[in-house]
Amino acid sequence: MTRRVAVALMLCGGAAIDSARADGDVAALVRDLRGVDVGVAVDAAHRLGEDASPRALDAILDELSIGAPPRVQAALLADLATRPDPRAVPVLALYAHNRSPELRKKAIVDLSTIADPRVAPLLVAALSDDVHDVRAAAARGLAKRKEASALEPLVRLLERADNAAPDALAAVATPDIARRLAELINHVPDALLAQTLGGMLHRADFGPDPIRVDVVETLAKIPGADATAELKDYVTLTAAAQSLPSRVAAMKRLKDRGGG
Amino acid sequence: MSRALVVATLALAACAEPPFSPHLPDNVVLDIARARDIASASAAPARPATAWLVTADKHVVAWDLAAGSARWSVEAADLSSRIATGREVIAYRGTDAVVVRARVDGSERCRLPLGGARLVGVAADDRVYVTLAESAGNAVLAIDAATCAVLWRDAAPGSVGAPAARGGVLAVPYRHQAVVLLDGATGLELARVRSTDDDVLFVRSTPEGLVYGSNGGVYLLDEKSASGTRAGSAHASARLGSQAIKTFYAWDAYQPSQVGYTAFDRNRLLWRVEKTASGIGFVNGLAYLHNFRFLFGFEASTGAVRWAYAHPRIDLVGSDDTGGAIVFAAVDGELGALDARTGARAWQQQSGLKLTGVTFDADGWAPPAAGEARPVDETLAAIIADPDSRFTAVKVFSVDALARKPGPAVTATLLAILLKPGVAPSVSARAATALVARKDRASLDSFHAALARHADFLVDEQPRAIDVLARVVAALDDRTAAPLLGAQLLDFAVPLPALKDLARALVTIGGKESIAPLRDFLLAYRCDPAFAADPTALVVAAEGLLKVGGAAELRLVKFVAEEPRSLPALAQPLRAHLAAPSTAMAR
Repeated sequence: MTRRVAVALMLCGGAAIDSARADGDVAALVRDLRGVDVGVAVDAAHRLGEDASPRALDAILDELSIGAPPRVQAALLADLATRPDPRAVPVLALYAHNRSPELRKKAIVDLSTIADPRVAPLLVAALSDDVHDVRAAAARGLAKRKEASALEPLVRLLERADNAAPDALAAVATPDIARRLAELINHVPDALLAQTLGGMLHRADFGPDPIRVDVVETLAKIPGADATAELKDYVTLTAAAQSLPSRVAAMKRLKDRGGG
Repeated sequence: MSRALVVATLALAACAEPPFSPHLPDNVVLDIARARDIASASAAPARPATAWLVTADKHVVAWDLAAGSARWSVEAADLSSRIATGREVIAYRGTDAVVVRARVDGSERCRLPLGGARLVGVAADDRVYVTLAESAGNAVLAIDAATCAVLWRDAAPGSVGAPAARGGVLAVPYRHQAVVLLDGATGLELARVRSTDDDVLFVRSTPEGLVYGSNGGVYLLDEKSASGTRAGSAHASARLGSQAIKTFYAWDAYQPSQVGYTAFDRNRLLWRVEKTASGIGFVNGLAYLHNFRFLFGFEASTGAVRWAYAHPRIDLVGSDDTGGAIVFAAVDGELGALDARTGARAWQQQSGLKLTGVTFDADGWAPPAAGEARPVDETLAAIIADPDSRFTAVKVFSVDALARKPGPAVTATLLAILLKPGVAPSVSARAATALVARKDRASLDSFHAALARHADFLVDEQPRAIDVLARVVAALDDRTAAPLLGAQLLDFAVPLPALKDLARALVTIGGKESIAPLRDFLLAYRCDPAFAADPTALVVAAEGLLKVGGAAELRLVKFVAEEPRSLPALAQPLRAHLAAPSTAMAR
């Protein structure tokens, strides 16, 4: 039985939440949450968030499950950002589809903190959201997790010229992606493509160096100041490795562009 | 009895009253029968099938359909009416005059000055006939086709319409209610038909006889016309099968705006009638609709479209039913003919002229046998998909026509219309109505595939017609669609107005799989002010849970009804519903 059903049945059956799930301060906060004064309820949600006890988490999830005014829901979701508990995943999955973009974004942010196999598909799905902030939150979450399954959706996001894509794509990119990105020159904004390739070069785990050379060469094909800036950054980043072939290639291309 | 004797007899009988007199009798069987006999006595003269083309550079061109060439072309800068065709002449309205030209070479024979009178209509046989609206009253004139000398002139105290001539009888629409039949030679009134069931808005001369009618249908002039009623007359009407297009059987004889070549030539019914055992019917049971670039052959009794023709890109300026073919002319000078039974393209010629109007004078003409017609469903689908945004009405008409046909292929076409971006709202609305009504269970997979589509920024996809699809699967009582409906109900990208249809569909099809999405939806938004203005979807979901759920759902709905934060607009009807005796009894 889902939390939503269980809580609703419990409530309708006459059981009081303060006796079933909570006691003391949590019970008092829950009563405030259930009041018709939204300001008081939001304040109660914040204080519930400060309570690190499992009872407080249960109370938050219960309240999210049975529905509340959007401002209260937003406050409760904010509470979960600091509680990466897998038990929250089912509830957050529902909020990841809420009609309120603000609530969707908060749910995605919360999910991003949780180490659970159910999370990645939810974050990938959120890349398709029509609201940029939600996509960006999902992209950040996927980047943080280095989620390999997000690679193709992130490439499509880049193709849609979404500025949420470059950093995330750079974080999850595999060596073979450089060639595909080269095909996007003139199809997506130069700045976004340069930012993506530059981000890949900034990754310490990206390589080996011949692959970096490929990325540098792709970057060098992109016209404009953004690509030049990324090449310069890379030269600066690798100052300690003067003879690194990818650095040498970057310097050569900078010289060709008159920026060396 | 000779014709002269008949006319003389009639004249003597009515010598005390002038034509159009209110004191002359009407609906006299013998008078009407005799007039009909006179009109039918002389066979229509054989003459080459001709399209009288009016060009953008103000010329009249006699186009020989059989030869595929112009017999002559003359400048007619002042032409401002449709061309009337007689035995040896053609006639039309010029600048404050009726202009008469020889059929054989286009030379101007004469002009009848109008003296400021408004020309209502022109007809011709051996003579030229003119109906006029003058400041002093209305008049009907016959003029000599060679000299334009006035042969006779009848004053008409009531309104007169554009006339038609056949076999020496002139038929004149009169007072919107009657057809006055005049002797073309003398102007004497031979008979009068007064319609009691319909207006009389036109008269036409056809090979089958004189025909009159209104927007309600056509009457063949014969002795039955004396009844004055539809039921008692030789009457036929064509059922168009769609309310989308307003059209007419023939030009309104009283309307000054329909004297010339106008858009009225591009949106009208084409038809020929024939005698049947019970009266008259449309030849082959078919009537035809010309709507700008499109022609349709439809069963007059049912409205079912048997064939459709979409002319590429260019409007057709005029068309006609010759009895053997549907002929047309396009703005770019193309002339064409379709097999009237099948719609197959039978013939085409390029005149090389830019056209503004055409009068076909080609009764009985038909080109050689046509080839295969394009399947009607394909043509209808192509018309609906036509990018020309002017043709919403004919697209709706085509949807209606298509919807009458069974089968998954048609369903697929209707579904494609529904899902296609940029389709005119009235077109997709009609497709939606048709899809719900046809309950095509064989197309469930297609409906499911459409319902499985969600908004997706990555592929630039937006949800389309989710509300309609919900109604479609609900009409089919398709329980297998519950997961798809549920996913849509919980999809934030679905427009608010569609949610009530999704909730209703889930309730209608019922089953356990409907319960979870209804519950999640209700709890997620029960306090959301976005639903305050219209909480219908939430109310439907809650009441639906009572219907399809059990004790757990009853307790959940009671919670929503009583919890103080639930939207009042939601809670109040739920409390009322729960308190209703029927609900209490069900519990």
